[in-house]
Amino acid sequence: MNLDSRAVRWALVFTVVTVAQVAVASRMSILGVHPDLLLLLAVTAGLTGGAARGAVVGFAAGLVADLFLYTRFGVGTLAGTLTGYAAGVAGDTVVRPSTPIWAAATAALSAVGTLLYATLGHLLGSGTLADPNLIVIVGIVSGTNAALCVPAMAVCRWAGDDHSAVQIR
Amino acid sequence: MRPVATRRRSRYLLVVLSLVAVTLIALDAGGFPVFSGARSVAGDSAAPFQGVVDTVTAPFRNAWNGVTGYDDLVAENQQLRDRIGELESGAVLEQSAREQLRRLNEQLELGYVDGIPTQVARVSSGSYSNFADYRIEIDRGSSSGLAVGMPVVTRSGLVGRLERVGSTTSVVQLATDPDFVIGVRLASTQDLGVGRGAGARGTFVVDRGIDLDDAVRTGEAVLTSGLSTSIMPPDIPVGIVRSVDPNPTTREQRLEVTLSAELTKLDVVQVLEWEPPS
Repeated sequence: MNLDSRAVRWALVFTVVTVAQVAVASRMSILGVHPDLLLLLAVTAGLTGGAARGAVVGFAAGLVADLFLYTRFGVGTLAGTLTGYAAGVAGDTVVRPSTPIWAAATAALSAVGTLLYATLGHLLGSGTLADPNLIVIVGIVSGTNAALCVPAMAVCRWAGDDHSAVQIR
Repeated sequence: MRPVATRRRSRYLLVVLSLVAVTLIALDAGGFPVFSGARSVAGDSAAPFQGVVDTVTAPFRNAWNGVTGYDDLVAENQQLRDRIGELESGAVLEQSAREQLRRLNEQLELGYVDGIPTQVARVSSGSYSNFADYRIEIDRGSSSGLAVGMPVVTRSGLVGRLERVGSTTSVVQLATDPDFVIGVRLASTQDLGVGRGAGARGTFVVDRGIDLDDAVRTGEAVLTSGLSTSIMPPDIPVGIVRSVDPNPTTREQRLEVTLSAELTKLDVVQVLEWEPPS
């Protein structure tokens, strides 16, 4: 699998995930909170592909999210980059991977990513940390991302063509 | 565990990407116009996808929202029952309430949109963010003659103003946004003040310009001031004073206002083709 092919796969993944986020996920809510598929993509890319891939995919996912958000441009990009990198570091520490461990890691990292976004936004004056629904948002985003982590990881492995690498790891 | 060289490369990449992201934040804070344009293009590009996917997934989404929002539906149903009960018992026809209704009707009958062309627009999406950002998107843009700054209203009153206008979609800054600041006027006394969105509480506050000596009662109607430098045309109903809090230190009164328009259940809005003076 060459670089061009992987780039095409990632482009396809980003297109589908963006459309799914904007047109579907954003309109389906639990207690007023909707799933964050772009954050899920950043987290699972890091867990399956390591810190470098997590940072790059997180950067791209955050950049795409920023296009549809109304807060300061770049906040989602920075949060996505840091979360993807953290996911990569966390994924490297998993010795015996199993679905419950991946789900727990995805939930924890999604919570970190959401809180990071809220913190960065708050520092830039958007008041996101003071949102009265903060705990609910973190909980539901973490829960839905954990529930979707298995197919998301499969998609990331397919896009990165690293089935063999994961098995070795 | 990955090799040291790989980890070093990862850290280097993290630093570079973070710096790029921080640069984006700094550029946006400095008013770099490219981002606003990019967001408008993204909104316009997503609109056709939303239409198609909306049609295909409507039954599934309706079922989902029906399940997850069941408690809300029950609560809303109960509220409606309570409301019917109140109306039947005649509580709403008490003198003070009648006076409030009369004033509101007076304001609505002012015909504040008379003489100003309007565009009817559908709310195409709420916020993409899970956090409150006080914005909605509508399905009209510059191709329909809309421009940044135009007021957005419903029959009930003020909703907000156009903050960003794409070709076929626009973003509305809601009146609950703490950064939304307008001049207001009290209907009965004609006192002028400055109001702003109250953020997470979902209301509006008038916290400047109303002196301690000014007689203000709860139930007072609040309108846009329409001063020559105002960003809004005059006499758009903003809301009703819910509480009055005198502040002896500033010698002013702080008014909490319940907005006339129900911003959490917007479906169709009207954009006034009125541009603020530059």
